Amino acid sequence: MLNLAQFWPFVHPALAGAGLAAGAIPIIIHLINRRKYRRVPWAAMSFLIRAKRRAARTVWLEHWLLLLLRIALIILLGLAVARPFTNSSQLASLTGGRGHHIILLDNSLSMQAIDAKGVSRFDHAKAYVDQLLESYPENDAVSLITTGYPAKAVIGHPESDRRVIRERFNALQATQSHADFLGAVSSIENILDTVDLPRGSCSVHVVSDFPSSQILGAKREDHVKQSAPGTTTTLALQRLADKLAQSSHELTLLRIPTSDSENIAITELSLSSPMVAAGFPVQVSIIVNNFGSAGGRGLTLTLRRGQQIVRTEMLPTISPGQQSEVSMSLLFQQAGHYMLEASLNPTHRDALPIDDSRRLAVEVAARMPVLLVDGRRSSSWLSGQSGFIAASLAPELLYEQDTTQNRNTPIQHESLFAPNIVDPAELASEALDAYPVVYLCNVSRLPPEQWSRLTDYVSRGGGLGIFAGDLLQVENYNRYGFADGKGLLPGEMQTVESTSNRDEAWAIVQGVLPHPLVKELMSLSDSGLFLARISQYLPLKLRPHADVVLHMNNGQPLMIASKFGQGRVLYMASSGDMAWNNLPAKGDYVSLIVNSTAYLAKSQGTHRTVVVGDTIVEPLIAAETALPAHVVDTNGTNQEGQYVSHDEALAYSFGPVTNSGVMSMTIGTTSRAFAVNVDAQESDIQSVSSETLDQAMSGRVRIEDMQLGVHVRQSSLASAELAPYALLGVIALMLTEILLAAWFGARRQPAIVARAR
Amino acid sequence: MTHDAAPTTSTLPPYFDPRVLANLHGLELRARMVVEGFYAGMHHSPHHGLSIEFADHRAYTQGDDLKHIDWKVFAKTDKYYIKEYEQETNMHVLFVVDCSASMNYRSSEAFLSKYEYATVATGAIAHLALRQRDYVGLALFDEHITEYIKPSVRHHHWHTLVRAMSNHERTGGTSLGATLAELGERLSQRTLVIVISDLFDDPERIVKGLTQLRYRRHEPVVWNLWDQAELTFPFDGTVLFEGLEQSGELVAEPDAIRRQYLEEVHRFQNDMRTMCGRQHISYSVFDTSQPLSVSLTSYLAARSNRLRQRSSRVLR
Repeated sequence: MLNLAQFWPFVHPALAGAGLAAGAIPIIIHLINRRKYRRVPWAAMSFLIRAKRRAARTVWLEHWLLLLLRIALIILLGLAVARPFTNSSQLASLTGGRGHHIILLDNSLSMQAIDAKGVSRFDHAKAYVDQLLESYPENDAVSLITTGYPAKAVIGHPESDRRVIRERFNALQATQSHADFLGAVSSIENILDTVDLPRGSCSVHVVSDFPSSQILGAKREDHVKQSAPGTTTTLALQRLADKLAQSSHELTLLRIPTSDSENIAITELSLSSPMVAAGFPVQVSIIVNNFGSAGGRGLTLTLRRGQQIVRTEMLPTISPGQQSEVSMSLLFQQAGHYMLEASLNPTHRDALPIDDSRRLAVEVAARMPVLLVDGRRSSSWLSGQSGFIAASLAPELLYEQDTTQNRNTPIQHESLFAPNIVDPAELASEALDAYPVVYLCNVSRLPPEQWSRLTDYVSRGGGLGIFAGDLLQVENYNRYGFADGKGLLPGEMQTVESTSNRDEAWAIVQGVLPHPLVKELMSLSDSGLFLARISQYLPLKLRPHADVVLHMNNGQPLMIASKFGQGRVLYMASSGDMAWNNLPAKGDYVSLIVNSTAYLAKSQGTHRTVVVGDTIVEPLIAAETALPAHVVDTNGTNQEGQYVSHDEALAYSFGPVTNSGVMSMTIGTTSRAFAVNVDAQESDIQSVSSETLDQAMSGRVRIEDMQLGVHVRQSSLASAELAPYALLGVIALMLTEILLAAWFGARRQPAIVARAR
Repeated sequence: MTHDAAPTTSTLPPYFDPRVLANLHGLELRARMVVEGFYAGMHHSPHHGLSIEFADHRAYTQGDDLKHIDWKVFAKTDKYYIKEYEQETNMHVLFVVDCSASMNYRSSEAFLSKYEYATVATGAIAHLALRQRDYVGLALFDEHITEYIKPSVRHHHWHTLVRAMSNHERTGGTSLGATLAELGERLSQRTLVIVISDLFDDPERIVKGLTQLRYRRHEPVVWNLWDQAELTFPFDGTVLFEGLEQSGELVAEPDAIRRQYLEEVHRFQNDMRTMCGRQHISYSVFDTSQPLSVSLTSYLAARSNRLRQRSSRVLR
């Protein structure tokens, strides 16, 4: 295919053409001037003829010299504006230096997409870079960076040894990780900062498929939850362009041809509830995206639990650019560690088969213990706050209490939650880490060391619920719980607001944006929450970033949620029993308590689902710290991990993980399975057009479409702008023209002098 | 004599100023104006007319009247010489006026064309000469003599001359050399031949014609007329020059060839001046923008010069 840039090396070829055409302007002016003359009758023609004959040679020379200078001046100016470029190596060799070429090769997952002939984008890119390397002059230095996360400086210095360059380049392979342009750009900046490069002697080639999700941002961010902001790539490249421009170096983006990019991928496999317990059904949500421009028919989705096929479903046709969400109910009979895998059985050709499956590590708990600290622990279940909450979490306890009158007797429970009610004084003896959720119910005050324990517990991922009550000592809570905005409380406690008139009691109203915790309840117009009346509450003066879960009709928040460290805090401004409100008498009270507990619950096992490029980390309990540990990677190979400090505790880690699949970490005799998925962002393999890429880069870089089967174009080689040199030439020509014109003029006898003779 | 020596226009009476003359219609009126002005100026002139003209010395012989002995020569040579006088005969003056097409040229800044200037000067001087009872003739020529009026001293002869100059067409080229040769054949009396032309002919042929006149004991005087534009070449831009004597057209940039043109003009004038000087022929350059008094005084100077030359030859 004929390439214009090969024969016409200009950034703006049309301008260059116009510049050449403009070279005719002096000729046209000359011809017009020749036609514009005055007619003068003249007697002394013989003198005139002889004079002209004598001056003819000089005049001809002067005319043509000035004309040629003016033509050259205008053409050169036009070409300079069109920004000519040439091989920077040649330029460097002309100026006595040597060129330095930095190749940034994208080897992220999207580069594994294959075309109709089964050749991957990465193979195309390598073939092209191979030609680039061949084309470089022998003395030029080369650096090589890859973008697969984490970005790697394969050759992080100017390397001139062709053998070394070849060895390292040939060993490059595509990865399953996402593109880390930010890290790659940092590596290039590091090279530029550490190596003393003459101005204009360096060229950077970025060879990539430039997926639109990375250049334009995750436009399908509703579907691609794990996507990093795509503009990070754009910003990184723009930053690189700016830095290179400061030293007159050049950045060229080489776009891999991506004509065949059909891809259907599972972009999400998740559970609807963070709490998974044996015997309780849980909803599994699977999202399938069609990133291609066709297909999407006759897809079969299979869900496996371990090796066992749990469900198989035919998916409806998914239009290009659309998604399909499938929800399945799943029941785990026994507690333990499970591996879920959703996979597609496509009936069409798929450019990127690796994202047709997705895995999820699930930890199924037998029970979830909940610690209820009650400031006024009552013998009757329905008279204390903890009683109401415990009854909501485990209704069978209420039945047991009624029949045995002994609430502490162990029985065969069927509820997910196992509430344990203690006095404030007993809190010190409880191991908080054993409870995913701790509630403080009308607790009057806590000693500083208990506040400190709770703070540490929540910051490490624990959940803390606080219910107000008549016993609360505001000063104690504000001093240690709020701690001038640095503590657990989502706001500073104020004074109790109350009304004795039943008609003046406050009601719960629907907020503008319902909090996820109560979104489902708020969607029901006949929810019991709206019927409840609040007669007393202890308000908070909210600190920033605190979320209001429930509003009252006086505009005051009733329930407030906030994050603290890795955990969450929930504050209920009214009581958990019937003392300050009649909420427990309403049907949705139980749902509110269960949802709140689920919201606060420390997620179990979610850290065991990672994406390629992440490091797997497993916190160790004290008994495990002395046990031998190892990791079996996705290829079944034993790997040694390392012990690291994680959340102020010891953990065993391995990574970054390079391949998707299932890994297992064995500590002593216990194994934990890790699900490793590819980054869903990489599944969107649709590339941006050159025009869009140019717009995204604000026109600051040269962008070229790689043409397969065509040798490396001269313009694709490390190139350097010639515009500054052309402008210098323009100035030189201009000065020459002015001086020559002045000299020629001085040689002529002016008319005024002649008149004076 | 050249116009370099001419008085400035501002100090002259207006009769000589071409600007004034240009406003007068008719050659006769213009010529009379000049003559009247010239006479007004002569009241202060030291020149007085001569009726007896010294002719020669000869050795004293017996019988000669002693009062004719030149005692001054005797004192110098100790020999007796008799002074011989001859009654001054009336002089023959022939005006040879160029009426070729090139004489029509008048630049935009000039007030008279070269031909108009020539005829006014001729008319004025003819008037003067006729008053002095000189014989005045006229030859108009371009490529050959187109009109010839024999020298005459008759009262109405001046009008004849003026009419001839006024009515003559000017369309041909210039061939002065051939014209002068032809004139030499025609003139029988010793004649003061005043050639008034722009001399756009081959200088050698011109001088050859003049020399032939000289050999025939005539006294040629050359007045070379130039328009001021022809002496300065004051054009700019691109100009198409149209030749007045079927010499074609020429596109040129005056700025580029001005120096070469002026060199050619000066070389021509120098050549003419040198060649005429060798033949003792008076050659003068006239700028038509300059006052006519220059040409009148030039004529009188030429007349008196001839007399002085005769006198000096006797004394030697």
